[in-house]
Amino acid sequence: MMSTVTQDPPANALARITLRNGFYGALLVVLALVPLAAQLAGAGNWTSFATQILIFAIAAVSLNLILGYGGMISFGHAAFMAIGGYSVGIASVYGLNNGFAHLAMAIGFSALFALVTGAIALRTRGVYFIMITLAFAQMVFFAFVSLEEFGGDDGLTVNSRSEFAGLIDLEREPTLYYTVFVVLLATLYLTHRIVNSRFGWVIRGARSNEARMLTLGHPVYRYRLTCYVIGGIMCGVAGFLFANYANFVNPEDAAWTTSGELIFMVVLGGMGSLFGPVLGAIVFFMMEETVGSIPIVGIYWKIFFGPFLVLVVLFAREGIDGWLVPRAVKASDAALADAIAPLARRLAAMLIDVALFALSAWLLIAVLGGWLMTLPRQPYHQDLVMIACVYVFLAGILVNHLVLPASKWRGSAGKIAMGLAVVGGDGRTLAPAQAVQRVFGQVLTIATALIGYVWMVADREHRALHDRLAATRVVVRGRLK
Amino acid sequence: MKQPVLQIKDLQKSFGGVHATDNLTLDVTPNEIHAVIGPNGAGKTTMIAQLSGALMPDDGQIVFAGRDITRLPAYRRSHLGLARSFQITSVFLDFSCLENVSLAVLAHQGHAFRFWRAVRGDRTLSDPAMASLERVGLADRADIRAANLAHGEQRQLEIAMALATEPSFLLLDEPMAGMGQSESARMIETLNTLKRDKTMLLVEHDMDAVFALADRISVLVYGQVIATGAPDDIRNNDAVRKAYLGDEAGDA
Ligand SMILES: Nc1ncnc2c1ncn2[C@@H]1O[C@H](COP(=O)(O)OP(=O)(O)O)[C@@H](O)[C@H]1O
Ligand SMILES: [Mg+2]
Repeated sequence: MMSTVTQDPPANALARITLRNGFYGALLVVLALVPLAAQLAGAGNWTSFATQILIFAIAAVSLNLILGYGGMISFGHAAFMAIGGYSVGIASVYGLNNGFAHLAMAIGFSALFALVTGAIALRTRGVYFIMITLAFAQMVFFAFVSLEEFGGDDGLTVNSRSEFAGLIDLEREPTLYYTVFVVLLATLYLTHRIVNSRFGWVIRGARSNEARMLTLGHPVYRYRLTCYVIGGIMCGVAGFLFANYANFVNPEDAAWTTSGELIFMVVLGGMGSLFGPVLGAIVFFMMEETVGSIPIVGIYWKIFFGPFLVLVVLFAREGIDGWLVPRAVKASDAALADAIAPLARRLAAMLIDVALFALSAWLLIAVLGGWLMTLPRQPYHQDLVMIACVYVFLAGILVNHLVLPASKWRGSAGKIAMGLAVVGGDGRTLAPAQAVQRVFGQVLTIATALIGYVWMVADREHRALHDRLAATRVVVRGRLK
Repeated sequence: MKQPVLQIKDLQKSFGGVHATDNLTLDVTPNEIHAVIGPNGAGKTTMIAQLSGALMPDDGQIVFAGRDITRLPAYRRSHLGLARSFQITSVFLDFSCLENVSLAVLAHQGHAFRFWRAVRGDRTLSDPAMASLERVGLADRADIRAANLAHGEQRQLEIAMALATEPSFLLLDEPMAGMGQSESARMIETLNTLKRDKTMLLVEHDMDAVFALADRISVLVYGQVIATGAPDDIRNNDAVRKAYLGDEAGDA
C-alpha cells in the first residue's frame, strides 16, 4: 500500500518558529520598556496596570503547565494565589515583614496544599477532577472568610510590603514591576526547561494518551502530582507578588471566578504554548479595561468575554498563539502579488480612518457636549445623552471596521477613499467570520503596543498581524483581476 | 516440556452480565509464539488487557516468570519485561514517530524525574528509538507526526513502541489488523526475527499469519479456551472447526 501522506516541509516549520518568536521577542522588549514609557508619558498608572497583568501572567503560565501541558483541568488554581497572598498578609499581621520568610511560606504552603489536594484529586478523572479541584479551592475561600482575626470576608490590608534586607525595595513601583517581570521571565524559562525535559515529555505523553503511558511503564500518577505541585508553587509565588502589589489580600483571590479567569487566559492565549498564557493575560486585562469602561454594558463585560472565548476556540483552537502560525500559502495567493497595496497608501488610509474617528469624537464631545451644557441642568438627562453618544461612536467603529470590509465596499472608509480593498487570500470579499477574525486581530495588534504593525513593513505582502491572523491582504482595487 | 513463562489460571472477568473472561486457563512457554484465535467478542482483547494490567480480573491468577502479577499495576509489568501492542492503534498522535518510540525508551530507562536537560538531541534516547524504528521499517518516517502516518505505518509504530521497552514477552493484539498484504508479509517477517529472543502471545485474525508464525494455537470462545495445540491439531480439531474456523479452515 502506497502512502499518500505528505511530509511536513521543514523550511515551513522554521518560518513559523521565526514569526512566533519574533512576536514574543518584541513583546518582551515592549514589556521591559513599560516603566520608562510610563515615565515619559507621565502616566504612572501604566506601570501599576502592567504589574497586575504580569502577575496574572505568571499565574496563567503556571496553570498552563498543569492544564495545557499536563491536561489536568484544574478549576481551583486560584487557591494558590490566595495561599501565597495570605502568607504575606498573615505574617505581616504578626509584624513579620521579611520577604524571604514570606516567599518561603508562600512556596511551602502552596507545595503542601498542592501535594495533599493533588494526591486526592488526581485519583479522579474528567469532570470529577474539575469538581474536586473546585471544591478544594472553595474550602480555602471559606477558610479565609471564617478567619475573622485576619479580616474575614473583608480581606486583610498588608501594611508594609515584603522587605528583602535592603536588596530590593518593593515600595518603589518600577522596582516592583521589574521584580515581577524577572519572576515572569524565570517562570517562563523554568517552564520551557521542564516541558522539554524527560519529566515534561512524560507529562505531555500522559495528556496525549494515558493508557499507553501506563502500558509503556510510566507511573503517570506521581509525575502528574509532581507537575501539580510545581504549578501550585509557581502560582503561590504569583500570589505573594499580588499581595505586595495590591497591599491587600482577600478571600476572593481563591474564588472560583478567579480560577475561571485564569482558565480563560490560558485558553485564550493558547493551551500548551509557552507564551500563550502571557498573551491571554494581556488581552484579558486590556478587554477588561476597554470593554469594561464602556458605560452600562461595561459592568457586564464578562458576559461579552464568554462569546469572545467561544469565538477564539472556534476560529483558533490553539488560542491566539495558534494564530501566530501562518497558514500555508496557497497557489491562488500568488495572483494577488501584483495588486498588493503600497505602504504609503495604506498609511494614508489609516490616517484618514484615524482622522475620521478623531473628528467624530470631537463632534460628539465638543459640539454635542457643548450643546448639552447649554441645556438646563438635568444631570441624569445629560448622562443618558453622553452614554448614547459613546454607543454611537462604538457603532461607528464597528461599521467602519467590520461591516464595511465584509460588504461590497470591501474596506474601511479610509481604504475606500484611497482606492484600497481588503480581500481574502483567494482575492474574494471577506466572509463575515473572517471580518470578525480580522477585528480581533486588530485588537491584538493594538493591545500589544502596535507590535503587529511592524510586520507590515517587513512582510513581502505588507500584511500586518491581523492580516496574517485572518489570512487577508490589502490590495489596490484597480489592479485586482 | 519447558517450564511455562506465563501462566493464566482460572481467570474471570465480567462486564455486567457478560462473562468476557470465563475460567480462562492458558500457559505460554519460553520463546514460543502462542497464537490465540477466536470469533469477535470472544474475549481476546479483554484477556490481553488483564495481562497488561489495564484491566483487573475479578478472580483467578496470572503468574509471569514465577511471580504473581495478578494485581500488579500496569507500569510495573512493563519493567518485568511485558509489553503490549494495541488492537486499536494507541500511539501519541501529536508526537513524531521518533518521539513516540522515545517515550517508550524513556519508560525503560527508569524514572523520568529529570527536569532540566532537553530530550531532543539526547542520543541515549534517540539512538535506541531509531533502532526500534529500523526494526519495523519506519526509520525513514522518524520525523513524521504519528497522526499523519498511513494506517499500516501506525500499526508498525505500535510494534516499534512495544519493542523499545526491550521486553522478553510481547502481548500482540491483532498486529496485522487493517494491513495490506505486503505490510502483513513484512510484519510476519519482523515477528519471525523477534522469535529468537522473545516470547509472544499473538492474538490475530489473519489465519495465514497465524499458521505461518504460531508454535501453538489456543482457541478462545465465550471467554474460555476450548482447545490448545499445534497448528495442525487445531486445523483438524472438529470442535474448533465448528465453533470458529468454519469455511476459513479450508482456505488456510
Ligand atoms: N469495557 C467493557 N465494558 C463492557 N463490556 C465489554 C468491555 N470490554 C469488552 N466487553 C465485552 O466483552 C466481550 C469480549 O470483548 P473483547 O475482549 O473485546 O473481544 P475480542 O477482542 O475477542 O473481539 C464482548 O462481548 C464485549 O462487548
Ligand atoms: Mg479484540
